[in-house]
Order: sequence, then C-alpha cells, then structure tokens
Amino acid sequence: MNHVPLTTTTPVKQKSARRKFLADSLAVVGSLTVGIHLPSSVAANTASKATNPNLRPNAWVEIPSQGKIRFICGRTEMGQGSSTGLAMLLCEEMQLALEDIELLIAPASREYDHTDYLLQTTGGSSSIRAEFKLMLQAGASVRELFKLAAAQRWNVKAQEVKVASGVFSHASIAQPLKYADLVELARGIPLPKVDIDLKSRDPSTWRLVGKRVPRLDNFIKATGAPIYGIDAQPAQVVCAWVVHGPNIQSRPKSFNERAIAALPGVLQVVATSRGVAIIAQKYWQAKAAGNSIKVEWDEPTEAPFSSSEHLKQCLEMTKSYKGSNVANKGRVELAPTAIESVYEMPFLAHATLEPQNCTVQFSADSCEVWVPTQSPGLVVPVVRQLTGLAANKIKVNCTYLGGGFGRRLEADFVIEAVEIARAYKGQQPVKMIWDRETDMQGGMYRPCAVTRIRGSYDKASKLLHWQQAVATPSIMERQGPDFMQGIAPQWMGAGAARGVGKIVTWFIDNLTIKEGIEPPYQMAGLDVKWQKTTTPVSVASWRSVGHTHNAFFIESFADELAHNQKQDPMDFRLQMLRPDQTRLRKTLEMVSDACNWKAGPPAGRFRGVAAHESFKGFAAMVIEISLSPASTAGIKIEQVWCAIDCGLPVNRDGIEQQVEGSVVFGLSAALYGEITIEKGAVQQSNFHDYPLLRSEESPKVHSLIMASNELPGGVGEPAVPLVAPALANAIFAAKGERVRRLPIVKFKA
Amino acid sequence: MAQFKINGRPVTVNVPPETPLLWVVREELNLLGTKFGCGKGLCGACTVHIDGQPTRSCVLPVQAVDGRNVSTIESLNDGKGGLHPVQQAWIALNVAQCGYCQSGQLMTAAALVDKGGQPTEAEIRVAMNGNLCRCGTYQRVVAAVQLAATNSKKAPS
Repeated sequence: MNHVPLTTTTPVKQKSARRKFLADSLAVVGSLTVGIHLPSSVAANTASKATNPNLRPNAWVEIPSQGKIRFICGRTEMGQGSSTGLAMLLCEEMQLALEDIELLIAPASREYDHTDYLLQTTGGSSSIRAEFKLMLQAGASVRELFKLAAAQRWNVKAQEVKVASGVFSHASIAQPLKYADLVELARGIPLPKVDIDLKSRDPSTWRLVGKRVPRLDNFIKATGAPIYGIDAQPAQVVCAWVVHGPNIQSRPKSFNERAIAALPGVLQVVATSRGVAIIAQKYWQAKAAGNSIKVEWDEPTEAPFSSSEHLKQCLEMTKSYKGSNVANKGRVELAPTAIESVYEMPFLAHATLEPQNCTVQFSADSCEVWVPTQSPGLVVPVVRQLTGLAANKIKVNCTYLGGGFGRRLEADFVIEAVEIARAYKGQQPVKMIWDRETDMQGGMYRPCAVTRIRGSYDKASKLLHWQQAVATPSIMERQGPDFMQGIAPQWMGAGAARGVGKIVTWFIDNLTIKEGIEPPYQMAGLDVKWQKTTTPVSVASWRSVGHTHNAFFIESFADELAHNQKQDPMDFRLQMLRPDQTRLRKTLEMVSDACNWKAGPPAGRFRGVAAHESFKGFAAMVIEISLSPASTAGIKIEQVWCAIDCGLPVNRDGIEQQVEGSVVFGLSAALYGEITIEKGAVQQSNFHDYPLLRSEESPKVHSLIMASNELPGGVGEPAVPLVAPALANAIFAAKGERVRRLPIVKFKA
Repeated sequence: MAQFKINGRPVTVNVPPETPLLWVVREELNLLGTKFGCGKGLCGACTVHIDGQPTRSCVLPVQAVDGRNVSTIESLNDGKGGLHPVQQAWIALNVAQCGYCQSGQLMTAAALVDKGGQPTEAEIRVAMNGNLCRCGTYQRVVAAVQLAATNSKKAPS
C-alpha cells in the first residue's frame, strides 16, 4: 500500500542495504556485544550481558539459554500474515520448526528499516518480496554461527557438525546440543557471512517454504489476548476521547472547558490542532463528558468543499485529453468506430475495525508511545518534532494492528495523541481512542478519480489505439514529505527532511497513478495524460493504491472493446495480451480452466473477468453472479475464482487467506464504498452509512496459486483491484448495462 | 452501581447505570478481549454472552445486566487451558487475519455451536451476519463453525 518515493531503489542499493545489515551484525557480535537494539547500548558488553543473558546475533533473532527462540519481526502484523511468512524463512534456514519460536513485534528501530523503502514501514505487499533473501540470510548465518560454537565445544570441524530440527550433532558425539545449550559459546564468535544462492537451489529442498502452516498469531487471536493498540495498559494509564469539527477544515476556537472539567472522572480538557480532547480516568467517563461539550470552531474562509462538485470538475478536465504525460506508445489513430467511456470512482475510507488510537507517556526528558502503526519509522521523527526530544529518548512500542490497509502508514493520529499527552499536566500515560465517527470522518481517503478513455481496435494490424485522461489528486504530494522525515537522518531535522521530500515528490509525483496505468495489451498507439487535481481532503494509500483505479478503468474498457468487437471477453484478452505478458496470460488461462469459462456459466448465472499485475503479483479473476432483485445491489455474488502468480509461494494458506480477504474487501468497495463530502463535511459516519460486506453476501472464493520459482512477489494487494472490474463486467454480461460509476448500489446499472 | 456475574464470578461495579457494558468489561473489570469497533451495535466486535445469548455490549447499559450472567471471550475455554471447540476450529483452519473482530465472531459462533446440532451454511451465515470482518474471513468462519459443530458432537459430554 505504500508508495513512498522509494520503490525506485535499484538492485545495487538493495544489495548494499543487505550488506550493511550483515556488516552491522558482524561488527556487533565481533565486538562481543549482545544488544544491537539501540546504538547507545553497544558500549559495554559486560553490562548488556548482565541485563540481557540472551544472545541477539542479529536484529531479528534472540536466543535465550532457556525457553523458545524469539523471532523479532520488524514488519507490522496487520492481518496480512507476513510475520508468519518471514518466520518460515528464518526457521527454514535455522532448521527449526515454527513451533520452536516465539513471535515478537519489533519496536521502532532503524535496524528494521525496510530494504527498499529505507524506513521502518510495512506496505506495498512488500514484506516477503523485499526481505526474502535477507531473512534466509539472517537464519543461515545464525545456524552457521552455532555450528561453529558446537565445533568449538566438541573440538571437531564445523563442516562435520550436522543440524536438524534445531539440534546440533556430530558422528563422534553421543549427546547432541540445542541452540540454547550453545548460547555462551556462540557469544564469543563473530557472526559468519552466508550467501544464499537462490538460482541453483533445488525447489524440492525447501522444508517449510511452499507448505501450509498454522499462523503464529492463531492462538492469541482465538483467545482474545490483549495485543492491539487499544489494549495497551501501561501503569496508571488515563484515557482521552476526541471531538473534531463538523467541517474537514474546522479548527477549535473555544470550548466550555470549565463545565467539562467539573464532570465525573475528567482530569483535563485540551485543544489539539484539529479538535478538543477530554482526558479522564476512564474512557467511558471521557466519552460521557463528551455529550456535554460545546466547541466553537474556526471555519475556512473559502467555499466549503463538495466532492460531487469536485467530480463534476474532474469530468470537465478530462474532456480535452490533455495533461501531463503518464504513458505513451506509438501514435494514436482512432477509427471512426472508436468508442468513448467515462469512469468515476469515489473517495474511500479504510475503516479498519480497530479505530485509530495511540497511547503516549510524555515527560520533560523522554517519551514512550504504544501504537498500532504500519510506519514505526515515521512515528519517531513525528514525536521528535513535536517534543524536541532526541530520537534515543523516544521509545515506540509497536502492537498488533486491528487492520491497516494503508491507513496506519500515516501518523496524523499519533500527532494528535502526542499533542494531548504534551498538554496534559499529569504524569500518567494517556490513551487516545478515536470514536468510529471520528475515524470515519478523519480524512486520509483513497482519492476519487475520473477517467475518460477512447479507443478502437484496428482490424488490419490487430492492435489497439487507446487515448486516456485521468483526473485525480496526488497521494505522493501529501505523503512524500511525511515519509522523508522517517528516511532522513536525525541531523537533517524535520523541516529540511520535508523539503527534500517535496523535491523528490515533485520528480516522481505521478507514481501512484502511473503504476498499473499501462494496459497489458498490444497497442499501435497509447496516450495517457494526467490532470492533477487538488482537494482539501487528505488522500492516502488505500489497499492496492492507484491500482484500484487503473485496473477498473483498463479492465472495464478492455471489456467494452471486446463486446464492441463481438468477441468473448476472455478470448479477446488472451488474443490482445502483449507477448511479454506471459505470467498474466497464464493466470488468465488458469482461472479460465478452473471455472470452465468455455462451457459458460450455469443457467441464470453470469460471469465477468479481469486481469492485472500489481506489486509483482499477477492475478486474474472471474466473478459469477445471478440477478437478485430483492437485494440492495440487485445482484447476488455467487462465486469467485482468482488465480495468482506471486512467484515462489511461501505460505500457501496465507496466500489463500489474502485472496479470500481481498475479494471481500474489493466487493465492499465496489458495491457500497463511498465517502462524500458536502459543504465541507464528511457525510458518512459509521457502518450504517459506510457498509461493509457481511457474511450472507459473501461468495465462495476459489483461490488458485500458480506454481513458480520466481522470486516472491506481492500477495496482500494484487487481487483487490480485480474485483470491481470483474464484477462490473459480470453485470454487463447479465444485463447488458455497463457500470461506469462506483459504488454499484448508488449508480445501479 | 450494578451487580452481576462476569465469567462465573460475582462482581459489583460502581459506575453510572447507563455506562455501556463494553467499557465496564474493558475498564472496570480489565478484560480486554472484548473489542470496541463502532459503538453503535453495528459491527459485533463487542459481542459477549448475557445468560448464554450473544449480545452487543457497546450499546447495552450496564444496568440491563444487573443480576445476570455475563461471559466474555476470556471464559470461552474451560479454565484449565482447554479450548472451546470453536477456538480449536479457528486455530485449525487459520481463520483470523488481523483478528480484531474475532473475539466477537467466536462468541457468536460459540453460542450457535453450543445449541448443538449441525447448522447448514445458510444458517451459519444468518447467525454470523451481525459480525463484520474487515479482512474478509467469512468463508473460513463458516468452515470453522461447521468443523466445531462436528467436533463438539463427537466430544463426550
């Protein structure tokens, strides 16, 4: 979900980042220190050994002399399951079973900076694909370290030491040893460097990779363990309830502070940059006091924003087919029979089921934060900027996330929580929890977008001519400066980092719309222009980001061209795909075979198809519907087939989970999802007016995983963008009416 | 002030009668497994059992449970480490993704399975329809309820 300005990192940089990781590990272990968690703790080995008897050969592994080996996961666990996938890679090389390790979520620390994005963040379906080799290396080097320790202990050659199921053995030794038994010896040995040669690896030698495994977080999530941000309970914690203004640009002017402060349990009432917070002993007291709050708001002087007016303007802007260049190929020569269509997509909220929250303990010389975040690397500079504290005085504890989807890449809610804690006169930590309404109306939406496409099929050359204009705001323009704060070194300071972010963004500002904008089909001429719009609404990465727009536009229009040519939409795609699109072609063939597309749907059923590549994941989907006049959308989603080629599958069950979830996520958006803003106010507030798909409406999902030995690609997002176009195409098959505006319940075809 | 049983244990809480049960459970009784999702009884993340019936605790004033039995996710196992059949099935089928809604899903599912019998897919979906899952785990929830129902029939009573 994360399109920070950094996806352009070259392989050279990746390599050097990995080298740096190993070099750091070597340096640290070589100097006999254990904790490399904080640079300041590297100083005295004896001290750190006294306080931490466990061995921490690298950032991701901690080995106690008793109990389970700990996997400290530097990527956020928000449901996508990559903590289990990464653990599989580590265990693969350490010769451990998954049951042998305990999963811990890493705090904010630069040692967990993302290999490509250069800050500690989780997004862009990148955890497995970016850290695949790194995790294998991390595991292999620890295994080799302990082989050396065992060899030293037994006075044998390291090459003769065998390791299996976490146990080290030698032909001459009766009593084998476990990792835990060798901790003290290993402490004195430099971490060996191990190269992972993936090219020559025989795929049949994978022990865990490619298998179905139980998630490491299964048990805690089936027993209601307090693992989320909202469950953070540092000693003496007090709670804050927040009210924001009626308008997205409202700012607090004055409020009835005295009346509220006198209410039961209330400790203090404070203004934040965007609202008013009531701090009370208990959240229920703060919330109850909120019923009596009266705030006078400063409203913007310009005309209040209207999303419906904005969409009308976007529609006008695309008419000229002018704008900045996004994709170009050959020369567009439209035939007189060319067709033209306009598609429209609304703002969307992420609606994570855990509302945004953050707990902060602030004192004059330190700040501790407990937060469900996708971007620990952004939280630290944000706190630094607000408090003036040095980074080593800021401790950020990362919890499990009750959903992320891109919403928790952002630090807006962290800023408000820190503002509250900073203003609070007491010493206790303050837990700020946004109400659902505050969360739903809090901005950071998937941008709205309008596109206009005209195109024709040239019978002589069998190629397409395709001209397109897109009107949508830039996510990166808002996000870039924020993220540069997390990337830049501390000495640069927030202002300079944001400045650099602005410059970088200026150069690659079209990334969010550019990714996936080029149709995978054979073109005689392609011309795509972008009209960048501006809105006062903050826009953000929303699961699959620009691909949700682009796949809907391209795969709807491709379907229109197919029908215009009186061709079967599946055949048309297979015929028109570029020769270099072999992986996408295979997923289409796979999904076609699985649903027996050629035989056609049973009577009363109708099907639509779509295919798209995103985040190095190639996916094709068929959605089968029936007409159901009694239901809200007039249709019933019967079943969905989705084929995904995500390279080497690491955790098959995890991939299927993500495909199943992506279908539901995509259906909620396609059928119901819409945030509208009128007179400056967000009109939706909770799940009654921003509905999500429920169990009874959910279809059977058939997930098909392509066998592959390519490096792992993305999994968490690639299926999402296919849902809207496949569904719209199925509706066309059923009714002969084309869905060009979402959500479907509002603009029924 | 309200008196009731929480997970079999009698408690007295000194809060205004209109305080939602959810916050009494979370903040007064320190049971954090029950989640806040919407505050309007729309998502089901806050589902607890009142005398065995799945109920939305975020819109239920604590006075409504005076003298009654309230059970939360923390009581779903037998207290000796043995998991409820729905919890076992959830783990066996990798149901949870982010997991935030799952306490509520499990409480609704447990009430259904505890009734006995083998519910059909349609019956399960009707029973589970009030529990939203943003990650979209519905397909596995249905399979897990079926598995739990099968397994609880096998278990000696």
